[in-house]
Amino acid sequence: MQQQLETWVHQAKKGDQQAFYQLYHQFKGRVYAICLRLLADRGQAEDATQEAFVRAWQQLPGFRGDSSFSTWLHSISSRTAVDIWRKNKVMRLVVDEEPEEQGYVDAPEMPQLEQAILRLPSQARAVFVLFALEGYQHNEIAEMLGIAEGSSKAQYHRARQLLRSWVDEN
Amino acid sequence: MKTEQQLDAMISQLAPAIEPQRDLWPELSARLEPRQRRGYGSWMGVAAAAVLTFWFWPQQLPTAPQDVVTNAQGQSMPAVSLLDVSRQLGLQLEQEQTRQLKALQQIPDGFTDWAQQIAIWNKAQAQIELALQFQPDNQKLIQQLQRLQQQQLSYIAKLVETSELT
Repeated sequence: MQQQLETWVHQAKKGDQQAFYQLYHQFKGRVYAICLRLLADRGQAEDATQEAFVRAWQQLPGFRGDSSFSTWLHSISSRTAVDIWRKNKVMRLVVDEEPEEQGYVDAPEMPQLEQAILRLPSQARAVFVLFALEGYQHNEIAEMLGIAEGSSKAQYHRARQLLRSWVDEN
Repeated sequence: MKTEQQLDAMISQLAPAIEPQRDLWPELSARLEPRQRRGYGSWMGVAAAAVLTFWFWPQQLPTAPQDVVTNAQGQSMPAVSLLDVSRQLGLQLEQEQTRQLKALQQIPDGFTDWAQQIAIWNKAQAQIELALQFQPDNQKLIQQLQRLQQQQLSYIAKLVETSELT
């Protein structure tokens, strides 16, 4: 599988869209998962997924293989979703103080914790997803989201607290 | 309320992938621009045009300033000055350079200040063109302008070449 993946990456770098489709097919679920968890909106997550793959296509000639393709794509996806998250933040124009019922995703088929993550307040959700699921450090998250490192830590603890209580109540 | 450990256990069980509910590929593929082969072909064309221009220019230099020429019917017509030709070629060169530079996917190390470098050459060329307005037949000025254009061309060719190697 790894060898096949490397072949697709090599061919896609040279401009082979069929090879890039294979990469898309292989990784679309992971990219979409990052985007959906960060944005809590199916439409935006779909847009972000497409944008992430377009950016990957554009940046592929510069991919040197220092990290795995999966890690590289993961990084592009997180940053793409965060870009959209930041645009949303500007548009919200309200301080995200109280837990809000997002209501964007009605997903009864999803596991209980997954649904709870989507219910989290926007900033707490972004920090939680980036720290707990994507493996970023608080200083990196602070830079990505444009917040203080202390805020990132505080939001993470808040998210955990909310998740613990919400998962328990269901 | 769940304990921290129970929450951690649930987090570790989350699926790494969630499949989108619709096929995103058709819209996505429409946005994928074909990879441009930044070969030497187009640059060879520009370089060839530039070399031909520089080769024939001195041979076409008028021996004396000519503001007006007479056509076969004996009517007077304004002459096309060397400066006009120079400007026109400079403009074409600049447009081609801009097109090529925009097509670059990634700027290699050592060329990150390419825009400033090009701007410096453009400024120098503009100053020589200004001087040529006052001395339109000054051979040294014309040669200087040609040299600058050749330098600029070589720089961008090297930038493209390095970009292709990285």
